[in-house]
Amino acid sequence: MPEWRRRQILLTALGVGSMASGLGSALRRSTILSRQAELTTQFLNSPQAVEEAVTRAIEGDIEATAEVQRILSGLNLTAPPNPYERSISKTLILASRLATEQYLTGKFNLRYQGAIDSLPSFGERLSGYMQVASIKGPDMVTAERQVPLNERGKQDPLLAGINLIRSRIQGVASQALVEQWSYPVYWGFVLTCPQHHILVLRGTQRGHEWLQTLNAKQIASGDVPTLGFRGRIHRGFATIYGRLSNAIIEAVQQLDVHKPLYLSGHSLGAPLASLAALDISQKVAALRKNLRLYTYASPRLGDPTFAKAFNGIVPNAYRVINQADLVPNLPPTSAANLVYVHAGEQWAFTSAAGDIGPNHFISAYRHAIENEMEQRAG
Amino acid sequence: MLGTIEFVPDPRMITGRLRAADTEERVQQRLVGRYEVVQEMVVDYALGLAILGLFRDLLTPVLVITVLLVAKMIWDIARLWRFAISFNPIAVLGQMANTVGACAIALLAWCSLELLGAIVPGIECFALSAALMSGAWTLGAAFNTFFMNGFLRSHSRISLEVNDA
Repeated sequence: MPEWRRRQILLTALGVGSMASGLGSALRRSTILSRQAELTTQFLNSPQAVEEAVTRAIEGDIEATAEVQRILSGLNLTAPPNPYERSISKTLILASRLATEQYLTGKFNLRYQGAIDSLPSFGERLSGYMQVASIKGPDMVTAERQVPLNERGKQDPLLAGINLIRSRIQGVASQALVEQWSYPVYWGFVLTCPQHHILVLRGTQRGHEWLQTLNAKQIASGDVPTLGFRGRIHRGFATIYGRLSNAIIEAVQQLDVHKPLYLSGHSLGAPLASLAALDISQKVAALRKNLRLYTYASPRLGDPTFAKAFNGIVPNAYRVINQADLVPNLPPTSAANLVYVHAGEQWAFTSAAGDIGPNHFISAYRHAIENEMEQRAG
Repeated sequence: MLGTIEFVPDPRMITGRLRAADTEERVQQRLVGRYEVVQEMVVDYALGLAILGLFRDLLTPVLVITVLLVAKMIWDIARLWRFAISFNPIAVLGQMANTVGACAIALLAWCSLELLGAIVPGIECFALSAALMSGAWTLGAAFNTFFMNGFLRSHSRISLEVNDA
């Protein structure tokens, strides 16, 4: 086939194809628009449908509340067989504070070995306990240091000028490299005394970090190789726990299985302690009946299927919350096709300090628990 | 009386120079001609791929056929340059960079039309077509230069012979 003829054929085919494609696209769009217009007209011609839509929009919050109530009433969690122990709760909230101090001390003092008796909040209440192990794992937040990029440019006027133009073009006022590094940090510890054991996991420092959990995705058991469970749970908590699982199981395996093991945590430490209880019940089965879970300011961990199954595996679970704290209300019960509920018996108090942080900090919880302000929810 | 010395050119020398100039010109014409033939072929391949890109709802088969057609295009370019692959490291590295660049240009063309489609509805249906066309064109042009480089290196003795003559 001669060259010019092939080119002609190709150009003709491209022209015809483009026209067909463009016309097809325009036709599709026009069909959609006319269908939309038709539906709008149909809708507006039906006063009942318009009225229903307006009512639905106005009463949307009522429906949302009803949906939350439906979810919660469908839960039917059984009450713990053992009573809530105020004295142990006082010890556990103190231990939660110590877990935070342990983490902070280890983060800045790299020679620190994890002993809790040297920490500022260590007191009489814990003097009868022996520390069996410290739980170490990767830090959730990597350390960052900003390194300015334009240091060398300052010596060369032309380069500095170009850098200035470049930074203005890109709309970046202060260009910087971010140097990141991470090293193992303390996540908690295990204590023992003649009567029982305690495992405490630490939480986060800032209350507003929990705002990030609003868009919490869920994962199923198959996505977490180290942990088996029913239903779906918060992806972030499962990921963090996955990195700590081995250290926790290793520490717990040293314990006497005939004594009760109290697991506890504040804030992020609460869902981690819940997952630890679940993990221990599977991997150290002899301890299963002796597990007691006390969580403070716990965010929601999983869906109703998970909560029901968890309630069956760890029946002695207690959840202490400050009614003024935002974190226990996160992630929302129902949002973006995801459902989150709490497991465990709720014990609540109210301590409103006027902001997210102070309402959430361990100090607020510790003060309330020391004064026995928490009451079982009706 | 001073005698004048007349320069009488040797007829053999004149013929030799004319022949050399003639040969050099013919070699250049042949090279340019070969380059243009490949260029035309690359444009045809690009047009063919642009037609193929109009079937954007059949993305997987379109991409499979694209890969096959691009491979065929490279083979045809190489064939027209007598498989004169240049082993010059700079040319090889340059060709690798050009291949990455062709993919980047295809991606950029696709992104541009998809973005433009947000402002001018309907334009986005040519995004794949534009991507395949610009990518194939750029890649073909790069391979044309690459194989011409190899051809020139392997046939450098022709030019040496021309200069010597």
